[in-house]
Amino acid sequence: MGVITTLLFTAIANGNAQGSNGPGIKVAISGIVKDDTGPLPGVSVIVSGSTGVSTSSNGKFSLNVEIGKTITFSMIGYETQKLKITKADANLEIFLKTDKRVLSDVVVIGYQQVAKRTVTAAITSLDPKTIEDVPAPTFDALLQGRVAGLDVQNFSGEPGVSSTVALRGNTAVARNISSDNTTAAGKASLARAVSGPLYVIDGVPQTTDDIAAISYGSGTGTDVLAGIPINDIADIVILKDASAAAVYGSRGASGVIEITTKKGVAGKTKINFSTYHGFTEKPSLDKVLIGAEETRAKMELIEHYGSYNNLKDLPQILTDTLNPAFNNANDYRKGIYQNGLIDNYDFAISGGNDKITYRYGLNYYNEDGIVKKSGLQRYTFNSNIGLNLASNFKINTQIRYYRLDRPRSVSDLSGGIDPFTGGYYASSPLPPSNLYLSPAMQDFIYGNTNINTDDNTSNSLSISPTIDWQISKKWSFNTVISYEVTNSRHDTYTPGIYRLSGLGYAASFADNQYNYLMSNTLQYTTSLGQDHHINLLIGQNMEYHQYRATDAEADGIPNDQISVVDVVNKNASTAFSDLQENGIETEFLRLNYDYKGKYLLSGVLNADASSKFGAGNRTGFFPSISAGWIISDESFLKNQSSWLSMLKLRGSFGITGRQPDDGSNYLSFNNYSVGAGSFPGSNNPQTGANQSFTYNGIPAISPNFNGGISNKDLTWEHSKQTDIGLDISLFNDRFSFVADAYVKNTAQGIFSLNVPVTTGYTTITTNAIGTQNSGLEMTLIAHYLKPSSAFQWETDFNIAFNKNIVTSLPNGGRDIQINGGSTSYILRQGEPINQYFLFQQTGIYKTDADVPVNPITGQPASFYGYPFRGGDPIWKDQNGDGVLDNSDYVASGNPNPGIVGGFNNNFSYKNWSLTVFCTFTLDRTIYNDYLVGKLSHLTPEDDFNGTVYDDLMNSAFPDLSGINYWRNPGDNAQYPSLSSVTGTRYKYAAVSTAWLQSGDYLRVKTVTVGYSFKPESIKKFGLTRLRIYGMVDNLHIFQAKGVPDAEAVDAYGIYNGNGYPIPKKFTLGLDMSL
Amino acid sequence: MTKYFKNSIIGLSLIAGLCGAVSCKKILDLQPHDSTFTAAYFTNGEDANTAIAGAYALLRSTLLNNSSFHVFGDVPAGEFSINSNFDDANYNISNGQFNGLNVGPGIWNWQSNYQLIQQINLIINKVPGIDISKFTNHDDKQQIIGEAYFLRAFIYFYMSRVWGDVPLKLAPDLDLSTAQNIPRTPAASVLKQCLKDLQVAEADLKYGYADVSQTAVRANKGAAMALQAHIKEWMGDYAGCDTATNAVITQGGYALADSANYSKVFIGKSTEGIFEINIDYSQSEGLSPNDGGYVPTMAAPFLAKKTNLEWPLNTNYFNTLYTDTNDIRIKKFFFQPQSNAGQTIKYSNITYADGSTQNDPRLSNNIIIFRLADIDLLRAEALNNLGRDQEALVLLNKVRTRANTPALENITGEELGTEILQERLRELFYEGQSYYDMVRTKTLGTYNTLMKDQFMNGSPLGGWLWPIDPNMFKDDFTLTQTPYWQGKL
Repeated sequence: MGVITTLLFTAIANGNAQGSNGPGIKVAISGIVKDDTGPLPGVSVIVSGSTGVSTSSNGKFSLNVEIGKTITFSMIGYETQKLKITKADANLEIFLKTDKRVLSDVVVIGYQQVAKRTVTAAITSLDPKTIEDVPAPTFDALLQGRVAGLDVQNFSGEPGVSSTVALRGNTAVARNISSDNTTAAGKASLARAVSGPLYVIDGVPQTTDDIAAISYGSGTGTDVLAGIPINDIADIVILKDASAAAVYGSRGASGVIEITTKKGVAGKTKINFSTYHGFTEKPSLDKVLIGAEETRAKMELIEHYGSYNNLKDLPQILTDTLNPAFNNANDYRKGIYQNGLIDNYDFAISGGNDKITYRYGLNYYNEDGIVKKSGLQRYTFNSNIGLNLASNFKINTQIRYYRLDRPRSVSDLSGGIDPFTGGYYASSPLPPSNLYLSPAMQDFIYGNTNINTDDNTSNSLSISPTIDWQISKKWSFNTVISYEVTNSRHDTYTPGIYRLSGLGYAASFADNQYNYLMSNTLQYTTSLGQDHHINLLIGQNMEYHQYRATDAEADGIPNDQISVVDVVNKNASTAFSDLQENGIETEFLRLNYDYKGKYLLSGVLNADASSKFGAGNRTGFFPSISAGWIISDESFLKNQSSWLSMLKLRGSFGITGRQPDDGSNYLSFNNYSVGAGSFPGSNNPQTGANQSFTYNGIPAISPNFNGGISNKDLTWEHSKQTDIGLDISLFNDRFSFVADAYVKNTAQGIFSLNVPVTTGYTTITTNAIGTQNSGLEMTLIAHYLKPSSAFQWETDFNIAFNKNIVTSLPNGGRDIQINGGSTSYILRQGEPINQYFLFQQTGIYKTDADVPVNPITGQPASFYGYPFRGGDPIWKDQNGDGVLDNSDYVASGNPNPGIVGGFNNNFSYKNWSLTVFCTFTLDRTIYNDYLVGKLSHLTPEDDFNGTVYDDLMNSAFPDLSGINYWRNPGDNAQYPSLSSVTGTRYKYAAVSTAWLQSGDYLRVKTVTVGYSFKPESIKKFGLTRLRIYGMVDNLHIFQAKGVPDAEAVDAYGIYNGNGYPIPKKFTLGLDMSL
Repeated sequence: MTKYFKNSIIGLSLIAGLCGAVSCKKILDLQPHDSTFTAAYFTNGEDANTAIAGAYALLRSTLLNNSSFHVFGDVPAGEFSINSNFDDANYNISNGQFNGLNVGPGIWNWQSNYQLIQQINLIINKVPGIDISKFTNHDDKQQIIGEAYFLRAFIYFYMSRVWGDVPLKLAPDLDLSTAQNIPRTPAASVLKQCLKDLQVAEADLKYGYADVSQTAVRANKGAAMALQAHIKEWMGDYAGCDTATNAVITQGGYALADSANYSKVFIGKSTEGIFEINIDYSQSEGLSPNDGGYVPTMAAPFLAKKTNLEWPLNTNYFNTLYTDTNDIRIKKFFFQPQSNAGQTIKYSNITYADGSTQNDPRLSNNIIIFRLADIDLLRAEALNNLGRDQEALVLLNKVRTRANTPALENITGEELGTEILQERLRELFYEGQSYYDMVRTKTLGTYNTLMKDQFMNGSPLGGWLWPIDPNMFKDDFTLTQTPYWQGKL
């Protein structure tokens, strides 16, 4: 800090030079400045060495100028024009050309703008125009398939939820995994499944950790990035390698996505309006048998497999079909799903002059969920005001506000009463259709009730002034201050009519998040002679985050008119609040050097200190270096410039970091649990919440045994990344090709380590794992036809190969088995993260005689005491000990995608355009939890549940056509028998390779047809631009048979159907500018 | 730019820079506000008191975890014929089919025991350093330290009876760097350490209670002496046991509850209670069988709407012991003992949280660990072993009379020993003692014929000891399996 202050003084002293007027004769000059649409107001008209004026609202100006002086006409977004004055002129007409360079040739890389041509790092910039019309509220979802190496999986179709985003492979490894999005643990696990990139919006790093989901499993679950309308984005840059991300060193390990929002542009006031409307299509779900059909199908199974003796166990629901309680035909899914509407309106107004520029953007987005009562509404206001206080001093103030309403379906409310988490698109089945449902129940389940069920709101306000001071030609200074406050509320009410107790349940959760940031940078740019160009950036960044949450819940509310927390029964009510804080201090230095503009060198040194670590281990150093060589600028290739526009070779090496992102802020403290009086049985059976906080009335305090032991040695995770890249562009940039190969080694990876049992503690967060991601990325952009052609065809293709392995594990590298809900995984050195670890299923026993005999006992092979019979699965006894247990599991597939990418084809002819965009994910194994769930419920799942037909009786019946299950001895079946009475009860156990399948898919993501009116034809309406278009989103998926949607798979490779189906969307849109 | 303007910028930049520099430290040195931590805790009497409450709460949780208090102390004795349909895991134990693996792993993982030990070690490490002036009348520094030593002795004795050799850890882990794997310490050394801890406890604790609300549910000198007696009896030091039990009986101020108030003994805090674990719905510390709590010996009508009886009484066992039909314990302890669904209703103080709807029962019966009748009979056993049968008989008859069974006369030696043991089995049914009594007196095979030989006492490898969870070996190379079970799981 001191250094910067000193430098400031020096800089100010240097910056005082002022020009002086020379002698000459003054003449009057006046005229008009225009661009290709008409007169331009606000253009700076400056006489060299003096102050100037700006053009009036009709583009006119006049001043007195000495002969021999030069007038400069300048305006942001236009190429500057100079005119030497030789005589008086009253009718000057100046045309300013739009400056294309400004838009496309400069990128922002961590605190500074750099010419694309001289970038030595692996970056990709994305024109937001390619994604702005797609009907989805969040831009991270829209990055899917657009950028080589960026793996985005939109595993849920629920509007406004986060997607998983991994750049160059996942490095997040957890000891506990859960895919159950209806539980707190599952939500937290899924929120942390993938090491997501750092988002930087207008120079402000964002905290995207959903603290509420991580800490409490509640909160709104809304993607915070949903607050930024795509129309407000000017540029998206993805920083991939260490040299690019290093300036955000501590958090750059998983890449950085920088978003620059649109700013005001001096000139004529421009008004843009765009809107689209459409609908989301109700998904076509797997068939479920209903009513009498269901009863008959169940009876058929029972009669087919059962014997006379089993008839005594027949459930009443199947036999007493005249009973009004059992003779219903509820079509649950028909009631739950709907077609939804989507509406989006964007309105922006921008303009300004040389003193002030402004832009205001307004957006309203509304998407109905395809599950009733769910959806997303967004209101945003985005303003940007630039004040040019002096020619070298600007203050730009960004004020952004958004509100998101994301009501959720019954699913979350019912606490995961599984069938309603997404219909029978779920591994947990619906109840049988025969049961009587009271009208009140129906209304609630189907979302037809007026009773307020789920309000889920986020409000965010951010204010961010930035100061740019061009101290002198060589020195410049920049400050960014940002203050952001986000409030979320989540209010739910579950009416008593729906609950067993008959009493209502209300919960209210509110949180506040404050983020404060200040960064200061000082730049020095100079040249040594003609050829050596040096740019030095020194800076400091400071961030502080505070999070507060309050939660109150009350059970036992006796009247459903009340839908707020009202404590009637204090033992069934809970409340808590929380406070979390963390901070980061960063100092960085970057040096850019080039020789003749073709030999490029860049280095970054970054020191980060985080409050999350203990005093001695706070600071991490993240250096990086990169070099580039623009080969095409060499004299031996100069004469090839007719076809070779650019050839550049790049290389970089650097270290980036990551800090614990699981919501733990105080890992260096051995913290305590206050009110630790719980014991088995101390929970309130209604709420499940612990009710005992004391011992004999005295508050009990004891260490937090889950991770509460301090680790003063904990420090940053370090990723060392090497990257080699090649940029080629041909035929005047009509074809361009970018390839990058990289190896990223993550050491000291943050992982929970098991601590010795005798400490009493279970795990501790520590630096204990090593992973490696290596891969190759390629991007090809082709404009097949010359720009002069009326027909245009453009292809944008990208593909990325990534290989991910675990390189080191704690405790001498022993394998770590992870039980993740129904399935299990393994971490093994040299193999990918989270491989499935299952019984190898080799088939189905055709007959009883095929079952092998245990060599030790002489009895047929068995599982949990139930001997195998014909129709049971054949699981390989890998160690040959005659007992099937988890020592027979084998590593059997990789849930991490090996190949991801996308391609976009854009055809245009005159005013028409057609765009087809596809994304693909290949080389991935996924787990069909949906199928195993659906079938396993037709057979008993445990031993002690009354009659053997309990599961069959209590579950809906899926359509079995096309499922080759074992029915008779000798059948060559794909799936086990559906007998409830013979064979092992666990024939549909989830820990089997039978449920693995290929996760490859290619999705035709969007198809758009557009028509742009010619400017001349709409001019009479006062318009400068008018475009109409129609779009289909998620048109079709090509995939292997099995799961209904190979994209709706979570980061652990699980398709369980509990998620929200990804709907097809049809929209019509309109875009216009005044 | 005007000069004024320039100065403002310089000023602003300076202020910004200064603020930054000042906040550097502030934003990095953040302390948790959602919990306390060692440096902020253990600063006054209130902290010491909540810490010792935390220790008792951990002990309560440990004993209730998977009902391990009864699974260790009662099930292997054969008191129940567990219904395999409702409790498969514990059925394997009661039916002699335990093979080391077929129980719930929570039973034999000692994580929760070491949580308690960490807590106690923290108290022993930190509380003596708190200045006496920071204590108020409510928090007695000396008593809290004494209780901590008592609890450490108790838990190590408890563990040693279950597993034999256990890792002996006497200092807290304050940071990961001290968290080492440590091997199992021989049982003899563990018991020696228990007695050493008890010496400290006995010096720090007093008989009786200054605060009557702490009766029996907090350790006092009586509890410490009772524990000492149990340890010495277990070690075969009958003279030592005699001295300790004598102290409890003569100085402790305890009295047997009369027959009319007998059931209240099992609610807790009675005149007879020496050491108990608090479970009381009125203090929001009730046990809910419907969410995590396990009340396997009762069903309707004692637990309304509960139909499954997981642990029916073993009628054979009952018939062997309760031969006198005038014994008031038959009615107080059991419901329909001759049926195949005999319930044990010793702990049946139920309140329904939802009133007459009766869907939400909460149990308020303390876990009875030591009580006077137990100590009387323990002393009788010691005296019998020391050849002082007349004195033993007096104590035995004291318990028999309260139970409305006739006093015994003129029996001595082994015969008396058997009577004392059987009286213990009758009196202390389902109090987590019977199995250890049988192991101590080497009579397990007599009362539980279903037990396979691994549970027989005298097996050279200690087969009556429990195996430990193989999961604990995963990351621990120093730990070894209990000798009898090595190579068996």
